[in-house]
Amino acid sequence: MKQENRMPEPQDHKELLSAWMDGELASRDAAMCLRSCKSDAALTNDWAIYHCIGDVLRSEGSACHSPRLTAAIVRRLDAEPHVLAPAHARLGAANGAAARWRTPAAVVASLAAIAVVAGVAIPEWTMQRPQLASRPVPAAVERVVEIPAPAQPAIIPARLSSQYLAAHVQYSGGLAMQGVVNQMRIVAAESGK
Amino acid sequence: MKRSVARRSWFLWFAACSAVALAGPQSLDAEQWLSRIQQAALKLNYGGTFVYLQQGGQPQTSRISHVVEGSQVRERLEVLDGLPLVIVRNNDEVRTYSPVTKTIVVEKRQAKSNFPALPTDQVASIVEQYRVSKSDSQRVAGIECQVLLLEPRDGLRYTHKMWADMNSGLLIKSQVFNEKGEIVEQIAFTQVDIGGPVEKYLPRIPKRDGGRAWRITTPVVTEANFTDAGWTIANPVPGFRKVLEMRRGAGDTAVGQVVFSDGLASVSVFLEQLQSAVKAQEGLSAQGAVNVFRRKVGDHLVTVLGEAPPACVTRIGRAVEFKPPPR
Repeated sequence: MKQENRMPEPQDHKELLSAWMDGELASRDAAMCLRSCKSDAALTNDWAIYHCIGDVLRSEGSACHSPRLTAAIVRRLDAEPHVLAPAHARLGAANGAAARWRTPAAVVASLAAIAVVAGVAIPEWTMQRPQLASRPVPAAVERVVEIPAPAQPAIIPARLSSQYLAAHVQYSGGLAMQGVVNQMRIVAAESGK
Repeated sequence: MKRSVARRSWFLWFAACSAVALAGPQSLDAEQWLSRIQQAALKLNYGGTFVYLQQGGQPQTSRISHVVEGSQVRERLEVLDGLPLVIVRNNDEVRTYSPVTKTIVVEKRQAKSNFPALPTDQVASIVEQYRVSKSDSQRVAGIECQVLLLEPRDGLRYTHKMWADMNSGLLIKSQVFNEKGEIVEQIAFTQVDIGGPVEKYLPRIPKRDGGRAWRITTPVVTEANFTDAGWTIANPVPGFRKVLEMRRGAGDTAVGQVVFSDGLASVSVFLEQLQSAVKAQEGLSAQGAVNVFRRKVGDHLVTVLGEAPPACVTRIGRAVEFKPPPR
């Protein structure tokens, strides 16, 4: 019987999680593991605890950040009005098993910005293990606050999704200096966060 | 057809050069000035400091250097206000260094695209959609400039005002106005060296070693054909032509992108599958000159984004249709 065709038992999930953290999981299993994490809060908690354990083991000082930090950041994000947010924070994410968990710099940048807003230091793990740490972020970034749609087309001043903008400016043409203007639009969108 | 346009434009460019040689830049007409501005941006070496401002935003100061060696173009931009950021463009590759997050995003412009459309086509396309006129001359950043006004022939584009160096044709200042006559975006050099060495404007490329490792992200972009996949994007805005289509990412979360341009403004249409977890908000949104229109089409989300007025992005967004292809 092929290993990957077997439906995993709940206990397997924890082992899969552990293997995933160690980078020993095939991409298909990792995708399944991610799905499980999304639907299972207990598993997400395990994930945070495993990382905490790992951080403590690897460091000399107290490198561990409480799993509640993520929850706090998510709560702060919920409170933020997002008129327009990317449906996928992974827009343009790299392909391939090794690169699958990388997210665009913008996501990490926004996390950094959020961390600053929340008055906390940027957690070490967002830098050291971005391929793992970035997972909780998209879920938070994706939230969109309901705003009434305008009856007439009217400009709603809002922060644009810098990821769409980044994808757009690569190919938007125009005259001289416009390439520069395009880059500046992203910078303005990023700093408006 | 395309070739004759190209030939005509080359002729214009040649005529412009000859006219400059014979009678000085003042004698050029508005269309010749556009060609001149475009060529100057491609061929000149320059370095300087500029300020970018968009409606409702803070002014942002940056430093830029642009170096051309044969067919190689190197452009470096360093944002001086707020979070540090360095953007390096080597021909078709753009690297964005973000020292705070220690990330480098590498984007490669798709080789097999119609973009940039023949640079010479561009001026012809602009003149079709905008009334281009020469205004007086003004001094900006210590440089005597020719002022040009580009007014749209319909309400689906912005008005542009440009200040170009009388001697070299380099754009020194540019403003974008909405239909109410308000400035939505402005970029202007406060100091610029044209044609000389640019060393003093080069940013320090952040060091890759030392401390934590930098992380490099390369978004995956592949060719795509959305017409075959069942999408129709009728073109309800005159002058906007499809320049390319591509797919970003892979699998269910892949995002399709179709880019339209009228020579001056461009609009991207993003097509993606609705994710159940996302409460997609339909409607219109703006930041400076960039407007975004978003609506659901079946179980897809369509996002239209571009440096064009709300009416333009809305029209393009409303024209998007999806019919699953027969299997």
